[in-house]
Amino acid sequence: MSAATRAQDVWIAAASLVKGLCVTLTNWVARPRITLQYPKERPTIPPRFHGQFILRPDPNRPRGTSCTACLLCWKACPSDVFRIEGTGHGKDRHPLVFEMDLSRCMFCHLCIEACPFDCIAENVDYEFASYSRDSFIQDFDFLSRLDRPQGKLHGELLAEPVEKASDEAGGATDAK
Amino acid sequence: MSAADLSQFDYERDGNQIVLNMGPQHPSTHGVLRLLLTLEGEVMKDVSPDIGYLHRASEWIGQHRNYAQVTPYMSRLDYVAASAQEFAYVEAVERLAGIEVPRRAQYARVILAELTRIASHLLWWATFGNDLGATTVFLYGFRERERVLDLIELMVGARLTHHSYRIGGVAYDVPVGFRERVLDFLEYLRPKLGEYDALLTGNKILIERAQGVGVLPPDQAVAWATSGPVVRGSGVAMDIRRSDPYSAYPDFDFDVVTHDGCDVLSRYLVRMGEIRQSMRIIEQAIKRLPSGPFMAKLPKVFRAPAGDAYGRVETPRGDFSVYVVGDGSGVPVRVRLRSPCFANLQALPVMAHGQKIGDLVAILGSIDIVLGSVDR
Amino acid sequence: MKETGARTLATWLGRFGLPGWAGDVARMLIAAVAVLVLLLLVVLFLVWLERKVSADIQSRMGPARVGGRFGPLQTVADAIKLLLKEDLIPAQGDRWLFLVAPAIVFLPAYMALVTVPFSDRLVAKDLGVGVVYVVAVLTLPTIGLIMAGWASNNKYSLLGGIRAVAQLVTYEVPFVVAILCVVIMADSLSLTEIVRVQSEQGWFIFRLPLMLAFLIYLIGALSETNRLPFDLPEAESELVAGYHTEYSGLRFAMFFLGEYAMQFFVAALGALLFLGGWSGPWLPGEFWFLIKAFGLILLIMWIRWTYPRLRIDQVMHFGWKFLLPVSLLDLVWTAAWGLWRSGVK
Repeated sequence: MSAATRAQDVWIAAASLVKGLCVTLTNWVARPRITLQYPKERPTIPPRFHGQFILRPDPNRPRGTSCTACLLCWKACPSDVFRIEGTGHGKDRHPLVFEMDLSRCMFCHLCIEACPFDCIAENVDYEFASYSRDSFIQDFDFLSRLDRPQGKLHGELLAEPVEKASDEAGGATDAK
Repeated sequence: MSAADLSQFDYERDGNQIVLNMGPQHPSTHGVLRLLLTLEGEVMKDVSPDIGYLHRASEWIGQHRNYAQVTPYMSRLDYVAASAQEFAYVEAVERLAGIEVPRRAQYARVILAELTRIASHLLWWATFGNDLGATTVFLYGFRERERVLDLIELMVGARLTHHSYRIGGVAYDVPVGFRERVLDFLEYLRPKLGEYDALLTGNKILIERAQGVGVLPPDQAVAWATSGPVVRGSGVAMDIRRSDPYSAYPDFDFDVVTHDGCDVLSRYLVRMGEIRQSMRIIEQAIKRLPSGPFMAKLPKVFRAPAGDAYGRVETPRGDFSVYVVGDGSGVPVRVRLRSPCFANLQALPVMAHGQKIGDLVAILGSIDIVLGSVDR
Repeated sequence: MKETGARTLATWLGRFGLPGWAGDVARMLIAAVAVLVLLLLVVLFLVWLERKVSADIQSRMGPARVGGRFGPLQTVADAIKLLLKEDLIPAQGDRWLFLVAPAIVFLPAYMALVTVPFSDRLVAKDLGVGVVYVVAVLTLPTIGLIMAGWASNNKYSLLGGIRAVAQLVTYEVPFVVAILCVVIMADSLSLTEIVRVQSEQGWFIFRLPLMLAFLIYLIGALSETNRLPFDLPEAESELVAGYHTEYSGLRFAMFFLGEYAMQFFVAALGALLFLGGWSGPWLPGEFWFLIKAFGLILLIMWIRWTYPRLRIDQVMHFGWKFLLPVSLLDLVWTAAWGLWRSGVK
């Protein structure tokens, strides 16, 4: 290898190293810090977030809840999260026991899609860490509490405005 | 190495050799992977992967849950690129049941899959740089990945284990404002990629560490059934999106990135190129988003007909395939998962033989395994 | 400071009936303690600085809670945490070597710092052969590293120790040759004399052959202190923690201390040899010296957070086959330059 090519290699190598230094320097002095000082600063959570579960209240029904203990959420769940016992008949059917074991839940959202009455939803709350396992078994009263961030129900999420098709949309569109 | 070759557990080595255990807990094995290294000084004579530490019986779960309930478990296989696995599974089930997915849903699926690819490659880049000592690269990669995850969270509601693919479409439609956010993000990422090329790709030290290291000749790459960037880094232009197209990919214009170097550097360049190609696909998809429903009309209780079907998808790590066998009931008879990381990892001893121990980390990083996918 | 300080102390101590040399001894003890205290404070500061600099480069905030908005007491909190940890000593290892190794890594930096002039008046002990003493002392931490690697009874640590020795021995030579270039320029081995020459004739780094010598010195310094791109001995991603894998609590803190003390020392030495030491307009010399030393430290940190690391054989190759010939050529060049200049005069 001639001295000239050798020298050129050294020059290219050195230049690449200096370029790397420039990138870090730019980030050092010219870019903002992206740290959020939790808990003073919190991230914004989009409405579809899979968070804490809530049961939709309905004052006109027994036990003030919209749930009819139809057990469809329990059937849909892959992880054995629900423990539901219903009572009453017909329109008055409501849950006697409605427990969710959040330590088993994988937040897959299938229960919410299964519910025919739009009773169960997830809100944007993610702060339910705890020191004891028992607190993860959330009972009916906890899930029906009103003093928490309310989430959008499945029906509401489906009815939200969506991105319109663009003018450049190619190919035939389905009319289904 | 044949199946009955138990001499790998024979620790009576030649006097000069030591057996080093890169145990399941190690900063660089990308998960719980155990490697038994036979070293002569700094040179590796043999690398024996010992897997199974993350086995979670996913295929068993496939036989004991109904079709819809299996989908969330698919996200958790390769948890870095969650949507990609779901794609394969729903493709397989839809082929089995003969379901036609609406075009809007297909476009949404492609956008999610390509966003996942960018997120996955950014994480790979971050960990690769970190393994080689450039900790700043780790932070930069995750900084960008966070932005991709923000986008995915807008659409899906989750960041790591997405569960938005449903049999017949996607769970929710594309939210309003998504197109703008995506295009803004692509504008943001483009100059950053140039910056990162200046920081790491062109860096002489990286080139020294990556060029000529971990060579996998193309014939070996094909023989060991490697796929994804590993096989494309050996010059073989195999990309399922091109060779066996699925979903809406035929509508889009993109290049299959290959490099001929067969070494760590060429796999690196393939992945960086793929990020750019994914950006192209996303831009085309979001700009041409068709109207229509986001979910096919399906009966309330889904039962797949008897038969079998194979769904193949190009995940960020390679060819992930699902083979579903149905018997007319709501629960599959068999869900066989073919993992790219498993096959790619088998080529590790070939790549690592004769290399130094310092190279092992680079080679393992270039294969880009996720143990959730290897062990399932 | 030396003469007047010793005399004042001698007269003061004389009142208690102590002989004349007691003043000298007292002065030396005070100076030694002062340097030690300074070193510990500087190291505390450097750990915090490293975390802040790395955070800034990585778009993060670094310590921001402990002791105010900039987290200055973070290092103190970490030190307390380390002190409270269980002291593990490998049962099968060489116990005596294991215990002594951290001290051998830390003490040489202190020993060398004692001879460094902080200003034209402030030096703990000025040696006429300062450079030789410093270079000799700087080779000692290597022994500590190999002791730690061997005594831990751990293959990873042993590999780390072996790599450390290979690397340090390799880069010692160009490092010393670069320092020799400065000695030729200044025509003296004494550190104070080298700085004095620069304060009269301009900083050495502005002379062409010494610019190259500075680069060589910097690379050698990075290797001496096990900083990236030469941090193989403690390469976390390959060897867990290299030669200090088995150390916990206070002993690990000692290694850490030693590493940062060495960094401060090579930065201070670089400031003395190439950047004019304590010379500078209208601020007192001590300030200039510290500004220059910390400037070099920032450069070292900047480099550390930018590059990946080299493999050990590449480190060897670079050291022996590239850096050493270049440093020897630089030595010849410096000598020729010096001759030419003295010939012109």
